[in-house]
Amino acid sequence: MSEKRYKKAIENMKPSDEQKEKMLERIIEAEKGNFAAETNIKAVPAAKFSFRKMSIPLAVTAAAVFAAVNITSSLRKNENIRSPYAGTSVTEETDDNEITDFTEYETEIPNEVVTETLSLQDTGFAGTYNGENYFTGMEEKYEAVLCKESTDGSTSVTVNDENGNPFCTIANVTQFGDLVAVLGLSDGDVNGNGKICIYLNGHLGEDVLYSFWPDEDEMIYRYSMKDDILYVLCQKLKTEHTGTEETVYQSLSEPVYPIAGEYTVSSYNLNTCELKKSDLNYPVDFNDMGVLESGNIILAGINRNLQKSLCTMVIINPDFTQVGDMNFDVSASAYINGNSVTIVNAKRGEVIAETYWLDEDDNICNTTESRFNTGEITVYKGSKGKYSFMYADDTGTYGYNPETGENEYLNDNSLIEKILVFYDDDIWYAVNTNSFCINICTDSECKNVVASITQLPETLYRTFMNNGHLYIMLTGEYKEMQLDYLGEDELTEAAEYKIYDTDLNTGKTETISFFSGAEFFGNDFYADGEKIVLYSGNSDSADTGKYYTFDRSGNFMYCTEEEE
Amino acid sequence: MTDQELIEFKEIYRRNIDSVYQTAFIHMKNRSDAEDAVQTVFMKYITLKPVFKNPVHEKAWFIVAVRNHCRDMLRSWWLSGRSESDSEKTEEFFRDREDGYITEAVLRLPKKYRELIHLYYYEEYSNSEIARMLGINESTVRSRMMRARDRLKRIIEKEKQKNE
Repeated sequence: MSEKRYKKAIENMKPSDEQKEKMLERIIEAEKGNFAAETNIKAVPAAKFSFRKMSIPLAVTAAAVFAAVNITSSLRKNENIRSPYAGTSVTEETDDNEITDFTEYETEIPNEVVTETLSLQDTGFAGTYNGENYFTGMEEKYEAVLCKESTDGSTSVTVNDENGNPFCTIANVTQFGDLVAVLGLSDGDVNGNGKICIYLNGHLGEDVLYSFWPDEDEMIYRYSMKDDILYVLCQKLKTEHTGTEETVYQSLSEPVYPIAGEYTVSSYNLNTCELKKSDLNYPVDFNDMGVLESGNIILAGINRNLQKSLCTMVIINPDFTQVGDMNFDVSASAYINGNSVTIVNAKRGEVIAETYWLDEDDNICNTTESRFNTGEITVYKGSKGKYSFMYADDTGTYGYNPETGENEYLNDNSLIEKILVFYDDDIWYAVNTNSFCINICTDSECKNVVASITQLPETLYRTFMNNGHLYIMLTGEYKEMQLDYLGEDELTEAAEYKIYDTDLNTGKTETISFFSGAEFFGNDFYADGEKIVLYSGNSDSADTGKYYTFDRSGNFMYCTEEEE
Repeated sequence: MTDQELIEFKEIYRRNIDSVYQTAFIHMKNRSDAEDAVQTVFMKYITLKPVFKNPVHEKAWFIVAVRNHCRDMLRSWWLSGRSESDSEKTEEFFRDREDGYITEAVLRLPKKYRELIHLYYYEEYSNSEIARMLGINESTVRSRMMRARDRLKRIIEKEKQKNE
């Protein structure tokens, strides 16, 4: 269709001359009304003037602008800032001279609460930066954004890698003094091993000071920074060809699995640009890494090479030579927080948290222990700021504060993840999730909860709204099983998918559960009262792959190459 | 408002009314709501008296302001359970106009696509300008444009088939 016809189509929406005059006349009338109100002659609020009899009072309109998770655009300003690290200036170039700064326009707009609302997919907690919680999401299913939660509405930042391309996934964001590190995947990086980009504080999403890429056979596992040195712990990967073109693994020819106990550790000095790297071959499944006040690196995990599993901590110096280790006679994970390490031994009915404080010579100088009775729990690595770890049981969500030795109850206001789900931008519901439960609400502050899904063993994967139903898809365990519909006798590694179908009017929630050998990399997800359609495609290309259709009982029905 | 201010306001109104109304219509999909939005935004202009650098700045201010206002209105109406029946009638209103079926098809697109078609083809903003106005990435503008055209084509073809 020609541009001219598009233009004509819009031109049809122009008001008639008569209509324009009528509107002008009424605006002038309303303006007079305003004047009267200001001089207290006869108070007639401006909002009562309307072309129609029925009008929405401004106060109501304003109240309806949900402030909690409004995402306003963060637009760059033209600034020249000398980066002390990269030796290059951080300059934003404008595309043209005609319109150079819409930021300014937006600040002048009276209706300042909402400028843009994003429909986010695949959201998750990214970390804390400048004391504020950041969430990641996929905007329009293509680009990863960081969203900041704040009291007056959130802002979003699209974060670009050093080539100026947005990340397709952001896994984590961490602040180190005046630097911030973003761990994510860029377009085209389909191996899943990620990269870290370092930005100057306040210029997140702008010039990258340094980017760290792991080798192809590595996956970034943890990273930390001290004194402008970035330390990265990578886990080694093995590749395995598990399928043929005829199988569902068409787009997954070389899945990668971590090798237990085999890691590499790298350091990059942002001032001298010196990069060091070393293999770390300890029979330990590390679950955390940190940098101590001494400048040494501490790694913590479970030692599996002994007759009895032990909690092991290894301390290495900046040259990656071991300078110390500690073994604790307990098979438990340990979490590093500054100069302390908390061993969390979570048994059914009881959690024992032992925190060991290290002095400047890395010797244990103090120990605290807390025991608390609880039901079955799920432990999560929490914010580095306050809690060593977070956990949830059937009574709620708690954060363990090693300073006080107490576990603090985290009420609904401290939900660590939030999602907004939109349906064609016209109807919206909020989905609030804190990794332990998902609340489905009809307002953005999640006060009106219509349904809850609690004690989640799974990871939130996709959301979809259709015909008054909200479908939330989560992934669960992986297991080897025979999938008849693949027509093969061999066992296949299949993932469990659970879809929670909530009727938003009644709150009634049904669960559809199934295992599938297909990895649903694509973002397409459709569900209705009869079927579920999922797209299994390549993460960097939406054009290849297949659509898998399942019935409401989770049975595989058929597979097509084209969307129906 | 003094007489001089009134004259100046009328000039500004005439310069921007088409863009403001069309933006409002693109969002609200019916005449009376679009008119309400137009009134509110011009009232805001009178109250705030923003100073514009140039006509480009002025036009952008009005478009973004009316867009924000419409979004607020849609949200508040959704809460009160407003139906879409009005807009369905509006689509039929264009049937007798030249290329009216395209106008109808545009109005059937989701809002994010409708506004892009308006800003790109009618207001003739570039992708980068639209990206700045809407606070989205330029690549998002491009991908949305592609999807908007694709959807529009499908709507028109479907409609043609129905009429044959």
